[in-house]
Amino acid sequence: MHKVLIVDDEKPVRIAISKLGQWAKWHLEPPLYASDGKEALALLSELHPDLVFVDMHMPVMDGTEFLRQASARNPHAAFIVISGYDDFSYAQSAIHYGASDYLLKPVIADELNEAIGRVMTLRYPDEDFSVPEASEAALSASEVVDLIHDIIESQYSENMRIQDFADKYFFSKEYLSRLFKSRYQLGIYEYLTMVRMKRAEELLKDPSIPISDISARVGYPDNNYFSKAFRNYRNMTPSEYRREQIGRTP
Amino acid sequence: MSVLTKKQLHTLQALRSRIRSMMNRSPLWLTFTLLMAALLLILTLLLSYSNYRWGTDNAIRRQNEATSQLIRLKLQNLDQYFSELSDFCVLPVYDSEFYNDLLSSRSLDESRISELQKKVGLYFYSRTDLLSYQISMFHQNLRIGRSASDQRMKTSREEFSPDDPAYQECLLAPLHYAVFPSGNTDALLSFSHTIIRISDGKPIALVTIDVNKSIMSSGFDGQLIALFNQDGQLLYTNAQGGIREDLEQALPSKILSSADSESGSILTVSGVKYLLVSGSDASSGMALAALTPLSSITEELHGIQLFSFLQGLAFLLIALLLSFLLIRYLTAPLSALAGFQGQVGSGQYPKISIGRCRETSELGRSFNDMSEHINRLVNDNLIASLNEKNARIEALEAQVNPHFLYNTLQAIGSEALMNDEPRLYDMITRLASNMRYSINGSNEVSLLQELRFTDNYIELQKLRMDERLQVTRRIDHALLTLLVPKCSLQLIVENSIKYGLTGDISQLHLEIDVFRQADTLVIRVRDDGAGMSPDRLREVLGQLSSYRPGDTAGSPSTLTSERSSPGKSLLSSGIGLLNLYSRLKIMYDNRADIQIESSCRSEDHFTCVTLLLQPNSWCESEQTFMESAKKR
Repeated sequence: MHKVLIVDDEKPVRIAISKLGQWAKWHLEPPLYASDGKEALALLSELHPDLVFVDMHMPVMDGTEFLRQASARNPHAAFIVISGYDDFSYAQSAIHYGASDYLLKPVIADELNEAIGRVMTLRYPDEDFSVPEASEAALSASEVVDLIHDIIESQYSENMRIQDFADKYFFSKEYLSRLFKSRYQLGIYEYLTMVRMKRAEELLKDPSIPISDISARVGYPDNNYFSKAFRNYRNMTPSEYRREQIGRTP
Repeated sequence: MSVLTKKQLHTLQALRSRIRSMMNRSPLWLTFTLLMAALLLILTLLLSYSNYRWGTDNAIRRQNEATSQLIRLKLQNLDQYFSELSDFCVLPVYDSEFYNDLLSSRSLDESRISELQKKVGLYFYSRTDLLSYQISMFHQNLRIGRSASDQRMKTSREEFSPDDPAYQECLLAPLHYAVFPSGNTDALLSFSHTIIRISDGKPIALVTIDVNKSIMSSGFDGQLIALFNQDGQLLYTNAQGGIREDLEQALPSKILSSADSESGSILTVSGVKYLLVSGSDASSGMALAALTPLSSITEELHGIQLFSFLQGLAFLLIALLLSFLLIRYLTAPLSALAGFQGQVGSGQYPKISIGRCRETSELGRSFNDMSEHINRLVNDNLIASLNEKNARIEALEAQVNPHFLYNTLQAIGSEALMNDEPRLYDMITRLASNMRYSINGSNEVSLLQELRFTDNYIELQKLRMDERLQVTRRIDHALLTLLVPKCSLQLIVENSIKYGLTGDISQLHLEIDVFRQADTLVIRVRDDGAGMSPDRLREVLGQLSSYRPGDTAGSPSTLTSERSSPGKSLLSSGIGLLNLYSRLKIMYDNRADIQIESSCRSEDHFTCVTLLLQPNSWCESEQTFMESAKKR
């Protein structure tokens, strides 16, 4: 597997390249990111990526300057430049400083993958790119939603942030939420809460477990918060529920 | 109360304005030369004429004087001659025998008479100028004479009549002689002198001689002369025939009436003008008139006058030539200036240097000032309008500033990706490609690029129109590298969509065909839209055919039924079929054309727009780095 680094201070480009690139096909790991030239140089020496995407206009260190330094330090890496300008002189200077290719914004999927393909087949002519290699599969939105569902089911006690999923799989939080809700009729946090409360109900049936324990086990470090949440869910406090449940069994 | 009638005034004014406009059109040197020529010619003619008159008068006067002098001399001559003749006539007085014979009252005998005859003979031959000699002896009643015509003495006895006019005249004359015309045509005159008795002065004989014309023979060349006696009788004239008679009649009165015989007068005799100079001798009573034909006086003059006139003419011509050259030399700068003015009129602002005289130099200076000023104004104006346009373009470009625009589009696109809308992302990239394509400078692109551009456009339109738009393409792939005008195919497609969907057309089907036909590239777009009415089609075709290069691209050019508004600027006008046509004409002249067919019949409605292009070469066009790398 080869490594990819995206050097761009703007999220949209990172998102577009990450989502549109056929990483598995070209035996590339999902891209890593650096927001500026300095950070990128550090990552370069650390990770030694084979393919680097560089935005020509960045703060701190200009794209051309980064390119000059990076290509000098990492001669084996291929650099693909991203820019808003289709001015020939930009392209010329990019090539001059070691770029293999030049993509215009907004990035077009076909062009991106053709550029990647050209670089990879040129540098690794012996690799068989007809067989894809993926360290991680790229998930579709519904797959991500199912994943979230499964993780909720299995790791409900953990703290979960949808934003992490969003960031990891490049879907917007809102979209994932919407999709989840349309699939499972409940919003993600709603569902998480439901799963937690159901587990809490079960645990409450066993009077040996202290309520504070239950609170932690279902993922609420704060007792009070757990009580409040339970009260919202069941219209009674956890203790009352326990009392009720115990009262039932002889 | 106008002196001239209205009509006459009109004609006069018309004439005046005609002349003025003619003068305005003719060059300075021509007008000047013509006027100068006219003036100089008039002057020369006047000069010549006055010269002529003065010369003639002078000549006449001189002739007058000379002739008067001559006449005077001649008369003096005559006077002397007469005196001489007088002496000759009274010779018998000094011959005592003769004298005694004259005195005697007895008749003479034969011997005496023959003696007298011999003496007369002697007298006759003693002078060469005598034509006849005759002596009349009063007491003897004897006349002895001798004439040149007959060789004998002629003696006759006759009573002498005292009424003889010659005798009478002699009696009256202080010098006792009389002159009369002679009967002999060879004779000049007939001179008579009385011989008187010394004692009492009583006339006793009369001698009459005819003299020849020798005395008059010299002195008057080329002139007619007439000699008159004391009674105004013509004694002699060298005139012939009819002139002679005229003279006989006209002259005496003229001579007698002229108070001052010094100045001549002009007399016309038999149609010929003569200068008449006459003079008379007081003592002899002779009057001599000389007539000089005016022509002879002026004849020599003519030669001189002609020469001086020609001289004047030559001077005139030289003066004209010199003044013409001078005027040309001095006014050439003005002609040059006129030329430069013309240049200013057509938009150039030359700096000139003209001179040759102060006024022209000043004109040149002020022309340069003006030229510079106008140039500056135009530039300022141009610069101002360009600045305005630039400002607008810059504002526009700021809007389409790549950094802003494409980054924004990328951000929007990525948001769409994150919302699992890859199709939307695709639309956004198509839009971005097309914007780039439009802004990019070149006029010509490869067919492949134009097709991509058009495809993007169609996909974007489909976004709006959903299923209503269907497009079929038949493209000859061998032609993909040919150069075609940018936005040409796209524009035709745009028009097809725009106008095809009017009315109640629910679905529009486009057919795009690109193929080669002989030497021509054919790009055809056929739609089954609403179509155009024959009038409308004719109107559109008319607009195309009446296009002239130089029509500003700022004129509204879309095929629209809206009224054209000439105030629209280049930036705000739509880019339509007429604009495409004008671009084609500018770029390809008559190697490109647009054909339109259309029908709006309900059973067969369509519009078919065909772009015909004859490319420079059918080979692959040069591929730039960007092209090969990007295939945009």
